[in-house]
Amino acid sequence: MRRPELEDVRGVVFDVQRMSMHDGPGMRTNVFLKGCPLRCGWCANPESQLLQPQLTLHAANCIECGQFAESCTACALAAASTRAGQQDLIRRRADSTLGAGWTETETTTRVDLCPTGALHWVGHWRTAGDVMAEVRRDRPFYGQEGGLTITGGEPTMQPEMCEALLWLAQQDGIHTAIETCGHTQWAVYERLLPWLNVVLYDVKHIDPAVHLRHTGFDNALILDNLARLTARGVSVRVRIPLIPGFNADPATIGGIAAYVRRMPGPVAGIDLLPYHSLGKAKYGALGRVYPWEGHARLSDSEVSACAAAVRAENLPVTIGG
Amino acid sequence: MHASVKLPPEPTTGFPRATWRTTAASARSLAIKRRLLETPRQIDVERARYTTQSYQASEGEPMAMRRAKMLLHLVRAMSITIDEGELIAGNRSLLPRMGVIAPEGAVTWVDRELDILPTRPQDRFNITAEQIQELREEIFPYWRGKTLEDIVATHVPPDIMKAVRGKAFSLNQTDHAQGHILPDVETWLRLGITGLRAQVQEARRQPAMQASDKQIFYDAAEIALTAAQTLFERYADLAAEMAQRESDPRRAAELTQIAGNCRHLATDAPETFYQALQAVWFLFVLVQIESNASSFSPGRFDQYMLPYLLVDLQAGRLTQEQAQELLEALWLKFNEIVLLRSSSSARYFAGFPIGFNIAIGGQLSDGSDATNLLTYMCLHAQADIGLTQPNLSVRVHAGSPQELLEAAAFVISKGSGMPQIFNDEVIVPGQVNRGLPLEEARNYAVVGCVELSTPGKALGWSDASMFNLTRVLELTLYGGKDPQSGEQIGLSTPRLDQMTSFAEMEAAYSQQLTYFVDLMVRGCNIVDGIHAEVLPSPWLSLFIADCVERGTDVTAGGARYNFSGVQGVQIANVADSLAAVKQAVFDEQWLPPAQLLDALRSNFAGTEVLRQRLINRAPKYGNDDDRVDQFAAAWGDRYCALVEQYPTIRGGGYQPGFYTVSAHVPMGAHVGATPDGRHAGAPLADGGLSPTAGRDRRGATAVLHSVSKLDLRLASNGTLLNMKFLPSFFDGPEALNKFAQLLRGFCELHVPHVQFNVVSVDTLRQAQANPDEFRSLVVRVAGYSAYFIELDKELQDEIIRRTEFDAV
Repeated sequence: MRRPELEDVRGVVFDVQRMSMHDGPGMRTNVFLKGCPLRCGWCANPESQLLQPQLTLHAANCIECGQFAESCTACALAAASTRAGQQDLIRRRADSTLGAGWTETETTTRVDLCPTGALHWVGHWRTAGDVMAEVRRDRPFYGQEGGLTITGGEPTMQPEMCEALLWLAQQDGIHTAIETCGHTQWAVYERLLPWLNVVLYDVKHIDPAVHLRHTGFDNALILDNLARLTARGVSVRVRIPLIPGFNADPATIGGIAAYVRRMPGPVAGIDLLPYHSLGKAKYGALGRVYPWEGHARLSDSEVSACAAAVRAENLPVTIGG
Repeated sequence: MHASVKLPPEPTTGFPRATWRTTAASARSLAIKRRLLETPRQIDVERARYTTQSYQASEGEPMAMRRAKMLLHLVRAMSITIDEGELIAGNRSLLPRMGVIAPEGAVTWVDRELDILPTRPQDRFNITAEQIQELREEIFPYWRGKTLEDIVATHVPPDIMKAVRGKAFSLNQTDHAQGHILPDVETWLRLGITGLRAQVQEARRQPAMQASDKQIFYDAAEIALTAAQTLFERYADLAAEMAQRESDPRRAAELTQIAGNCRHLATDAPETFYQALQAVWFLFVLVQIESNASSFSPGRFDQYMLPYLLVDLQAGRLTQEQAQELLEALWLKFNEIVLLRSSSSARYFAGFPIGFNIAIGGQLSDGSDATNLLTYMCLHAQADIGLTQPNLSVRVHAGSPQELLEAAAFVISKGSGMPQIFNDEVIVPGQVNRGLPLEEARNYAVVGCVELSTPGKALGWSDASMFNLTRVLELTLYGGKDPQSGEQIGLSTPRLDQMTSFAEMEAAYSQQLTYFVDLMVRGCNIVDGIHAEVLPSPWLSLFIADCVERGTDVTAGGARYNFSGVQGVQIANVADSLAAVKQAVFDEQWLPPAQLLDALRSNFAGTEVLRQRLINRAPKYGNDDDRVDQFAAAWGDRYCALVEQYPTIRGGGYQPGFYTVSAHVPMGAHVGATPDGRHAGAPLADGGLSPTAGRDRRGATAVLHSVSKLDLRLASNGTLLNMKFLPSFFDGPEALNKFAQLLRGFCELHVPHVQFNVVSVDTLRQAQANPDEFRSLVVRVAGYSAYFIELDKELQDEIIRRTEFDAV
């Protein structure tokens, strides 16, 4: 079967991370698609939440060149030109993407003036063919197990792009995985499953109210989709982010594990992903306040206790994926 | 007798996976290791004193005879000892890690640096007032004008000196013997002293060998064998005497065994694994006494030692644990010899790389996999001892077993920077391309850091020169002139602002390269010829085919295969600079060429915005981006093509390499600001084929792809690629498997070499702040490992800056 039109499907990609070790079996290339339905306070990739490309400013890389004054009135504010001024500019444009009245090209040209790349776009429209050309480069490293992992954001927010990438990968004999938050219509999974080898499936909390409070939605759709996936015999690994102040206690984690064990079909295992604050700087770059401020990393013993709670349910567990 | 021995059915039992995490050196080995690290480095004057005495007594005789008599006098007169707990005897100085002065190589720089040896920035040694006095009053005066250093200085013509002073290239091996060779250990173990003497006597009776210079060669060879016998007997006597005085019966028995081994080797070939280990070490002690040079390498140790091990294991003479401890005793011995270098040389080769390179694994001559029990025991030893020597290399090929790759990955994860990995899939075809038979090519081993050669049959002269491709590019931008002094150093070609197309830029660069490569080769030939006159090496010549058959010293072309290796430095800066010039000046034309030259000449003063744009807008090597990688490929290949046209004066040819040892720091110091955004004087990219630190942003596989775009079969002298990984990369049960997969990809992409630093930036910073607590912290510099705290600050900083790959 040939579907050349799939090469031309476009999507918003915000990173392609080669030689990923922890997102599926073997060595993998992670393709990050933009857009996520959830708004988790601890999110390590806040730039992935909106579907559209976004401007970010990493203040640490800004050399205060002052060039924006000459080239763009909207940046005159920044040119006043303190770092704080530039940040304020970004903040005012937070969540926005293209400037009022600017075309995408116009904005890009202006952003290109930034000599250090401190001000740059997160997310670019790319074709599936272009992305796959990059993914294919690392075939020498995939071996029997490795391959493509589509993550995000939430890959199912861009179903056409996601399907195109998976289909093209499978045509090349490249192993495929998606990492998904589960909050999507079942029909989307139906569409992707024929081209998928492994699903890495996030389950964050069993309590719908807690889930709603910290992610913006309850977990009904998520748990329902998980049941359907396992019923279909799909190879599923459940991933639980261990988040202090949300779920990082043995009782909660054990509860998730117990639930997972009762699914209609088998789950390959559970990966515990301990909380880290590496995404914090990205909030500043987006002009946002870090919502999970004040939470420390988990100690080894806290993580081990959660792992033990999973093992108590007779499920294989890894830490860090 | 050993050829009939079959491999045991379970070749991996030397390093079973279950023991990886719990493996540990014996208490004895740890005590010796501690002593090695804690003994302050001292200057040794015995080598200088007795060499002077011998040379004074042999005035007027042929140089080969004088060298042989020097060796004999040294082994008779030098102080020897056997240290507490040692199982293998022998060193070339009384204390471990002494700075030995070989006056026939140089006294001028030594004299200049005597007073600062304890305080100079790199490679310090303690020295006493009495030693300084003896050297200055009784030794140095005799040597003025007679040393290699002094003779070279008067023989290099002005046009070549101008290019050297203009930093287009360096001429190496101008103040000590050149080393860089793989002696035929296998033959040494098979024949021993008596067998070798018979071989010499047989050869000297041949009708074709009756000329007086041939007979002189053989006279010298026989004296060298007598010297070896003398040294082994002295150690035998010493061990026997110590055994008598020893109160602990267990140690007395060990000393008696050492005495027996040494006595046996004084006449005969080794018969046991233990004797073979002692014989290997004695061979290298003697080449070091004779030559005082870096990079005499044991080569394929796991291949030629295996029969001795298997016979002992099968006969029940040794348990595997005993064999492992003996092996680790040799591992420790390799750390006892360091090379005293001049300050300038120590910047290029910082931290005492002595280059006892051992290459394990790989292929047999029929192409099948060569991994064996001893391969794993060597990895085990490296995991246990974890010091800077031997420089352990693992050869991999498409058929390497997964166990080998994972065991190598495990040892790498322990962080001593070893083993480094070599790729048969590109190196073997590269050796064939240089005219070696396929079976011989498959038997390659590694010299010193990363240089490739044929055991027992070749003088590769691997480190003849370092050619500064980046400096020559800088000169090209300014029409062949030094931008600061205005001196015309290269050919007169158009300046960048007089060019109308990028093609003109490329044409000018090509002309300048051709000009300087020619000068470099002429300079190397002069140095090569002087070595043959001043430093014939009778002992070493016994171990390189066909010196004995031809009655010709190895320095004079006696080897079957002769090469000279010259390194191109540094591909990353050249590719990045050319890509930036092409994009900014010629394609997009946002940068007028005169403005670029002004910015470079002023080291980007006041033009940081421009510099940032050059860094961030133009594509950079190391990201699998053809827009820039094409220049790495084109100019790497161009350099190779220029070099390989030239024959050496020993027969054979010049062959290119891409590695720097630590020279990217001092060589960068002599290059002004470059269009890749590099500041004046800043280090060049490290390694040889590595991207500029911090410019590769797409991960390790993208780096490997960029490197693979060069035709690296041509870089047959050796290449070097550094990668740095955080320790956390190795977390998790599947990490070793995944790392092995990285090595498979490396193999498939035909990248010849890669090595890994596995240490966190935090650890390195702590070590900088508290050196005493990090005495044994070993890091990978470039083709060799060194103690981090023994490197000067600039090199430490450079290592910290190299891009770090974490698990993502």
